[in-house]
Amino acid sequence: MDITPLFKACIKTVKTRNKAFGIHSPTNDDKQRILRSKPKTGFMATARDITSQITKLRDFLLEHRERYLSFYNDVTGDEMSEAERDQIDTGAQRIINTCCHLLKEFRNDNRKVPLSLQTRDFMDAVIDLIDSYLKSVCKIHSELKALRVKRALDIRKLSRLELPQTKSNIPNPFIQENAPKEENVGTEEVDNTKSKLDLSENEVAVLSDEGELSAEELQMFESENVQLLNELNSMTDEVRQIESKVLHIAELQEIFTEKILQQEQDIDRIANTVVGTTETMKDANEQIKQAIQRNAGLRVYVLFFLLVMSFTLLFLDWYNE
Amino acid sequence: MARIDTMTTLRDRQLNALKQMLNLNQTLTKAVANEPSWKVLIYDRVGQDIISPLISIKELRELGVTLHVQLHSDRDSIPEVPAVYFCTPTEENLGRICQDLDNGLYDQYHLNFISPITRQKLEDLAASSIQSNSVMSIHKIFDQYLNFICLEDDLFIMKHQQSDSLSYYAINKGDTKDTEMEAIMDEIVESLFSVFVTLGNVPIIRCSKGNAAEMVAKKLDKKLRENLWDARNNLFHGQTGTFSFTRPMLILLDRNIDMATPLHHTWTYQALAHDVLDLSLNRAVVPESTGPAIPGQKTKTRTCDLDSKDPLWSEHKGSPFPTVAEAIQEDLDKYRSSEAEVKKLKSSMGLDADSDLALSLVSDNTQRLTSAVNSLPQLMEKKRLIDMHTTIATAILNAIKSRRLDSFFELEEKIMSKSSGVESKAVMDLISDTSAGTAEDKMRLFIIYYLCTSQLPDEEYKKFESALVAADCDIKPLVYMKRWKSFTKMSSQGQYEGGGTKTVSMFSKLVSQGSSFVMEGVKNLVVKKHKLPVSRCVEAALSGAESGGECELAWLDPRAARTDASVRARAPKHPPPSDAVVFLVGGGSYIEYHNLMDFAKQQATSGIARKIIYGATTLPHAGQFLKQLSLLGEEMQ
Repeated sequence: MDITPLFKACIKTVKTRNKAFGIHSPTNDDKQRILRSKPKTGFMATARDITSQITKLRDFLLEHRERYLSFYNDVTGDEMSEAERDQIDTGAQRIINTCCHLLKEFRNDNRKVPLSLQTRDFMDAVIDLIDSYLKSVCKIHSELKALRVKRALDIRKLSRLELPQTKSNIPNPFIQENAPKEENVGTEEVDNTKSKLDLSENEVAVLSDEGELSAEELQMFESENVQLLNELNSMTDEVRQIESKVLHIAELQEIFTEKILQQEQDIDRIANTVVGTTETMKDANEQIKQAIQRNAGLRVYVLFFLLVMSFTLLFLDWYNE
Repeated sequence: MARIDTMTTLRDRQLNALKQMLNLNQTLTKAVANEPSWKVLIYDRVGQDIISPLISIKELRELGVTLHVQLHSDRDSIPEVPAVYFCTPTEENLGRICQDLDNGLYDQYHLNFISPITRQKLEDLAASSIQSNSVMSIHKIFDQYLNFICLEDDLFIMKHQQSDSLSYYAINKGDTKDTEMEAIMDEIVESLFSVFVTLGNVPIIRCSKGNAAEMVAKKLDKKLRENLWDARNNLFHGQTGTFSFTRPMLILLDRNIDMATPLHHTWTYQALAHDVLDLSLNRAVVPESTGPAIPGQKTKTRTCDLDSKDPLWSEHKGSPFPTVAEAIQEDLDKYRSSEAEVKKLKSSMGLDADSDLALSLVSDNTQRLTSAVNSLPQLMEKKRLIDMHTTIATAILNAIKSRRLDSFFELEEKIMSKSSGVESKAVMDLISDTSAGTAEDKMRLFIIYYLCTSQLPDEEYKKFESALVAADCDIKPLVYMKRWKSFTKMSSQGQYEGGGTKTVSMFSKLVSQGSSFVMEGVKNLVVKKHKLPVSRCVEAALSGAESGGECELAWLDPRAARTDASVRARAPKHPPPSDAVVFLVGGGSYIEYHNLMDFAKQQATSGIARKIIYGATTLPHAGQFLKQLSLLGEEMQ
């Protein structure tokens, strides 16, 4: 809890009390100034100097960070050209080197001055802190650089049209080409680009690779081209054949469909007929059953009649005796 | 129920407050690569104790502190850099500050007082600053309310150095004058008040009746009440919205509730380190084992910092010792395998440089290389930690073997749990066994046995006494314990029930792993989960039962109006709070701390999330506690 206002109030009360009691606080004109300007020691001044330089560098980097990293910005023409980026890189590197150098000098100077243990610790710690600050600002810069290099690498890989895993037939760029072949087209360009080959840094070798297309590579590319053309042609033929076949199949399928529709009608008719037939058959069965029954009944009656008649005759015969 | 503001623990809050103080009381910004601002830190002993478990020297450097010195040492004048003072507002500290102002050592002064400074002292300071004409250089004065030492996320003690005035002995000795007692109580209240200001919450207070804890509770209640109703500088303002959810319960208990636990032999890693290696302020003193100890020559010691950033420590500090040994072995194996990987990478890199390089291969390897380089410092750090733990574990293991602490532990667990009947013969054997343990160990065993058996016939007692004297023990504590036992009407039956150990024959597995810890001869004991009396009280209090069974606790609510009866009538209707701060007056113990943590975890698995903070006036290890008991016994005779 902040009790500074309370403290200030206390000071006022004590001052008024002192005035009331007539106690005079020692007024040393020398000390009475509001902004006490003690002679600034050289140590702190230099330390502050170095820190402010590093701060300037940091602010500069942070300010331009977005523009530096915008590779695919096509809405606003805010992209940085490679030259600008290189400029920033070299500038930042220079400042970092100067600061590093200054810091080293500063540290060495301090070592020579004889001082008490506490002040020595303090100064060492101050220098260490400035050092770590410088390191963190360096880190910002190196992160930017690393991102840029990574993107460049990716672009190179893409422009080569090869998969990153397969072993390529491209000869090692570190091995120099001795004699360019005469048959290749455009060897002058190759010569020009080769003269710019710089093997000092790996990245630069990567970057300069795009201009160099050696004769062998040209030939290889040409043969690849021809091969691709042939393949494409054959593929077109095949495609046409397939097209005609597909048309034929479509026609046949139409006929097929027609026939099937006809068959459907027939089948419907047959179905209906069959249903009628079943009904008729059922009736026929009934009628035959009845007929059989009636037949059986008739026979019974006839037999009965005959029997009765024969018994009547017999009876009459016996009776008329 | 998602709680947003309980994510910061007590330790985090204290650390935040300290960091803000070191940032000259401006809010901490998280910009990229901040410009360093240099400052000098000056502390007194209390401030040193508070800062050392929380911030390491490296972190201090990162925060911009270039120099840190004690207040009462000779200091040089360092111009143009603000000086941050962190001390208690005692007379001598203030005198020294005034001297500094007189000599004009620094240009800017930021004074931070650990506990609030009185108006009178503030005026004295004002007067002397006017005298020395340095009013303008005092930029800020703050009352920090940080008068406690936070050892872990949820463990705090009051004081470390000069803490004898707060020990169990001081509170319970017969000839304590009233004024002394008042002074002690005031200190405790001060500390608890700072804890709650840091937490930002006003607790509901429950205390055990009739002893020091009750006095502390009443005073704390009064102090909180005064502060709450003082509208001008209410320290708890701005937190009203969170009150209904996260108001914790402060449970004040006295050491007399359970005297056996501080003397108990331990089996968890942290407690063993505390017992054997004198772990204080998260720093252990390990004797380096360089060959056989030559009598008369001091063994070299090494101090090891054990803090929560060490993953092995934070995971295993509460686990039994054999588990720790296994974990160290596992970590060692993992480290060795990652080391082998890095070495393999080195050789594979050498091989690839000869053959044809496609650029993609190069970038792939550089990626692996950068990842290896980045992981190297981590590996070095891991190795250092494993080394440290190995040393500590070996030292503890040696102590266990030489003092046969495992048998003591087993026997004490049996006694305390009454799971199987313990004959006094077993205790007698261990006491008269000359190879087992120091005199203190035997004393501890006997006191626990005495406390836990309800009746000990007199002639048995005499037999034990003679055996103890024969073993060179100091029997003065026994006098005090007799009196204590007669005072406490609580029967010690069923207090420690549920404990006990079972031997697990796992050491065969350990030996077969080719472990460097050859644990034969040390029983692999697994402790069953049980609850100590303190945890039991806490559980009863938190579950809202009015009568907590063994411990009757009174209710006090600083936020309520005066009438006590209405509070007590209202209290059971409110849902009981789920967070608790348990404070032991008279000394705490790591065993209770681990037990409470286990209890909280257990409750968490059954669905109730609890945050329990354990605090005590001091954390004596068993030897110190025994000494205090012996002093008490002595003055009774």
